[in-house]
Amino acid sequence: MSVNDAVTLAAAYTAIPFALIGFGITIRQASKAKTAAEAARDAAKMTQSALARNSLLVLIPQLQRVEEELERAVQTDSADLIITWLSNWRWQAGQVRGLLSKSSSENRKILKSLQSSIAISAKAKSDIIDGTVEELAISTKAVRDAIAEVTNELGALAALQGIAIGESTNDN
Amino acid sequence: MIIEDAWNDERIKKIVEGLLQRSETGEAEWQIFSGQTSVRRAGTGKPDGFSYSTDSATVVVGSSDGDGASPYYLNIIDSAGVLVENISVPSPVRSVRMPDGTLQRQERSPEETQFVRLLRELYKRARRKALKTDDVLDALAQELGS
Repeated sequence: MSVNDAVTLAAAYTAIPFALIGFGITIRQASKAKTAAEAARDAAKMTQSALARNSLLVLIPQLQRVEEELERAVQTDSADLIITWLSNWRWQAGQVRGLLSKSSSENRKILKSLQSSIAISAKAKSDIIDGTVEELAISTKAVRDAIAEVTNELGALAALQGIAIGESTNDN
Repeated sequence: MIIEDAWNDERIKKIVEGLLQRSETGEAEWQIFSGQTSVRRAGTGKPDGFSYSTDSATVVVGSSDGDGASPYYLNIIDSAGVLVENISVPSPVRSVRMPDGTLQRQERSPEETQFVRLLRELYKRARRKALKTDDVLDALAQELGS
């Protein structure tokens, strides 16, 4: 074997471990990158979920306020105020619905109640505007009952979410 | 939507049949939507309505005159509270003006009659559930029977 052949052979054999080392580094880097991407995705999901939860905790008291103002408007027999608060309810209830995930069974029940309240409030408002109602208290009973059902369910949800936020804060 | 178009729309048929089935099993929770909340208001000529809501839509079935009899109606309301479909379901018999000016009663087609019957049944079940009629009857029967 010539010197040249020996050098060539040696280079070929020594290249193998370096190639393997290089290959191993590439695999590890790819694995770390994937893990980092997954971690980033999980963090984004958690942030989104926390934002939704915090938004709900802000919106729920607003819905309760709408309910109170609607009751006050009915007691004072003010058609204009009733119309205003019914519109307010539709808009805010729609926002809450957008924040609730459809995945949980508890949320499904609230989503149905929200939908029902939105539909009934639209009807009640339309009837008042059309002038087809005689007594505001009677004609708004169905919508007030529907709204009360929603605020009761959301109140329970808010209590749970508040506890969940407290727990995650303590964990951090 | 007129009854002829409604009956030819497979989705409407599925909705009505699905609601009938869910009403029978008790899965459909019907609520008072409008109108009849007291005996005093029954048959006032104003429509009554009973609703069932999913996550994103509400179906309302009612008696157009508020008297529990035909004509009935079926409304579908979307997630924003907008009425997207209204189906008026007239009585099974219609009056047709003849050339001599007289009115003649004509039976509707079998398909229309079938749809009217389905709606009537749906209305009865929805009303019964929404007003909790069975609970009231059970309690009353028990009280009077003891």
